Amino acid sequence: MERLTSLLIPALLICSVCKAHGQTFRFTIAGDVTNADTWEGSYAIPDEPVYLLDLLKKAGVQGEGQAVILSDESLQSAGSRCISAQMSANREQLKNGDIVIFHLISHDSRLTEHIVIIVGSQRHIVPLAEIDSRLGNLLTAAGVPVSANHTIPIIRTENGRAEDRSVKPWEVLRHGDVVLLDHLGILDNGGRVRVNQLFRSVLDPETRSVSKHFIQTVAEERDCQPVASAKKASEFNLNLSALSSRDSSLATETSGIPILPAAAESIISPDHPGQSQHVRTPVPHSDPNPDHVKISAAAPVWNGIFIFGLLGSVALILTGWLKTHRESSPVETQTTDSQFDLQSLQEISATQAPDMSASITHDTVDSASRPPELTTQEGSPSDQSPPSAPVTDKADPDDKPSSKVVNDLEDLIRNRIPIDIQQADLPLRVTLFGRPLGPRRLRIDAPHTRIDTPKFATVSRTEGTSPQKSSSTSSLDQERRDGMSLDRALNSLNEQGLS
Amino acid sequence: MIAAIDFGCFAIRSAFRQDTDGAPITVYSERSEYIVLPNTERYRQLLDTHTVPHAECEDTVAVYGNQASQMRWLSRIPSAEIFNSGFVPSDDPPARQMLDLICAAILPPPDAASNLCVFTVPGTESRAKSQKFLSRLIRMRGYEPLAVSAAEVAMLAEGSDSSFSGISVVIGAETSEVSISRLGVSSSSVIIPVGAAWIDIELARQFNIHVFDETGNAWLDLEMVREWKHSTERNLRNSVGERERFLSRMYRAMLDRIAQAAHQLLSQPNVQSDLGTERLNVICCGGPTHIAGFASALTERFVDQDIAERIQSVRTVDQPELTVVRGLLISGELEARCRRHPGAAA
Repeated sequence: MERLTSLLIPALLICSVCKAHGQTFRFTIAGDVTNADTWEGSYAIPDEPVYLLDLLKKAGVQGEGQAVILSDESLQSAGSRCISAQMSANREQLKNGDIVIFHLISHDSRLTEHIVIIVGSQRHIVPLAEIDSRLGNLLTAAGVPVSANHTIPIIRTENGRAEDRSVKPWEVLRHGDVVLLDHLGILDNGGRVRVNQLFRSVLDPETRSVSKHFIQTVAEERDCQPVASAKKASEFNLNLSALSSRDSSLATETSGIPILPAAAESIISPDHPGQSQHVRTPVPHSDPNPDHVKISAAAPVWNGIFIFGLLGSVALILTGWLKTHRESSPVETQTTDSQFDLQSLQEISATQAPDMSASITHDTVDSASRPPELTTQEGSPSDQSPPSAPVTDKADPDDKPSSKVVNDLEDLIRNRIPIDIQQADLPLRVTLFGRPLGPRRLRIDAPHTRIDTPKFATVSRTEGTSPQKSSSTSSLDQERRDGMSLDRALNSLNEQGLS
Repeated sequence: MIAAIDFGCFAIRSAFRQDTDGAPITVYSERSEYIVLPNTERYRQLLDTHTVPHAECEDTVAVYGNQASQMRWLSRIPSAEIFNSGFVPSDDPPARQMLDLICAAILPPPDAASNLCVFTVPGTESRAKSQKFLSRLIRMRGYEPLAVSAAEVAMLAEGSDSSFSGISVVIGAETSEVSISRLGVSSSSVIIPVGAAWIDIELARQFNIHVFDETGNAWLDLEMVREWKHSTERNLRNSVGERERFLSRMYRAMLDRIAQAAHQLLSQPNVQSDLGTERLNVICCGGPTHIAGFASALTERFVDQDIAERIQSVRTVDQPELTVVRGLLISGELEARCRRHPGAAA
């Protein structure tokens, strides 16, 4: 009985902790903040409200500005809010998955300008300086061919509003832009092939100089899970998903690429001082050993038990999965090998291209159409693919019309479409039933005939005593009549209002 | 095909685009009025010679649409409104049939895809009946009708600079609409049964601007009033002469009602919860806003109603007559997109 009781209590504790940590959330904070990143974690309390101001303060907002909120599913603007770092309370809540782009009223030059790139379910924050403010640089470095004619849908978040736009790959992006790369055809076959191609090519040492920080971000966030170091992270955040074998092997093989540790912090809600929620906070790159890790002190014993149990199970699962995954997925193993990137990419492109060409619009990269500043990259490894291998550029033919429709709607809203006023072609002669009534309310009735004055047989009584209307009274009456005449219209209006 | 019709008591306007690839917006505009002439050979011959569209109605001939004002010299009776006092008349069968003829002329033939026609309903009284009748007319042309508020779509057409949030005021011939929107969605709105026609009628009555028919009956000459009122010399802030002062006074009374309505809307709990205490932009459109000093006059009314601190700016739009129909087109595009992607709408 004692054994049963001793087993039951830990089991109940683990179940309750699991339930509390079951709901995960993800928010992306970018723009004029010191710590722009995607924040993931799990709620300490289910359906715990997450406040915009709290998250922005955690992300390091300094000063006053506008926060543009994009909802997760549709990426539609959910409005903008004026936020100041000095605010003590703001009850604006965020929904799970929201993207917040914060713009200071006066931009702080010390802050890094960056954009948010959305590929499938992944969100990457890329400094503008590393791609020379042009998305084409990144895509070219990644081996994704783009031509000058292609348009990429972006959401520009300036002046406190989100505008859907389309930009050419070589147009200069602006700080805070949200770029949707799904529409470029990078996602394909469920978002696997082209994403891997993009990431693997970026990992190539030849192109690493183009986007060092992006490499780090990619290295962390591959396969839709921004887990850096399973060992470190899982110590602090119990709900982080398991580290894939591919990522672990990548971490060991690409020793030049630092893997960023993640810390867990608890956001204390001002409304609920006793409650906390875990948020994974990315640590600055210069800080390899995060000391500012705080663990919610709400239930240390439960957490300890849970961590202990979970670590054991995760280790077992990982070991088993690592073995099977290495044996069963040769292509993905190749993708982790940074020494073999180019060759494998060419092989994959050559083998998959015919199938893709059946349903996907192809555009070969025209070197003449590229801007001159990119001609130096003509000899980059990504361009050494055989010309016979068709390259995919547009994956979904429905995407182009949809982006066109978005542009069209924007032109319509901004009154940029010319208006052609034409004369309607009415039938020359028709016969209608009935007789028209004409302008009824405009008719002024003829004046009534004058009624004779009353005749009284009291002439003798009134002789010499009949009251005479004084001149002052008669003039007053006249004024009153004029006034009444003027106010008649207003009176009728008041009557309308009363009725 | 997405089409839009603004059924106005002064003019009926439609807008559509043949394709969305850079094509201009085609707009048809027909005056919603008609004149009545005797049905004699002489008149019919004259109208046929000048190719003026007309309709024979028993012992009369009616000229409707834009040609009515041009042929008015043939009749000594002023033109009649198709929407009598702001609603579809139930006792004027030719007027109802003229609405059908105008609808047929200003709507393009529907294409094979889904056809949506977004429209506004005039007036305040018998609005449901009018909407039902107009919906039927549109459906007869092969479109699916969708009635929306004029003030709401005005915010879509002109509110992009203010994130489609603020107060929109649409002043028509018979009614004025005030709506408070947040992010393009109307939080609250109201229709006031006062418009430009009320001002015109009172001006004609006050200054005895009449015409007389053959039998000596007097009629208010609204056409002359409008001609005088639409002169660029008219200014609500610097009135010169008795008539202009009266005009300013009438405008002031109308704008007072609008400001009062805005005050009431702003004090509603749902509006307060939606917009808080942020200052709002006011967008004004409709033909009557196209007079000098309008924005200042409305600002004065807001001050009188103690809501000036809630107002950030008062703006009249560039094309006040076409704003609503363009907003209807935007509304139709959005509706079509929502129907194509129901998940996005949710």
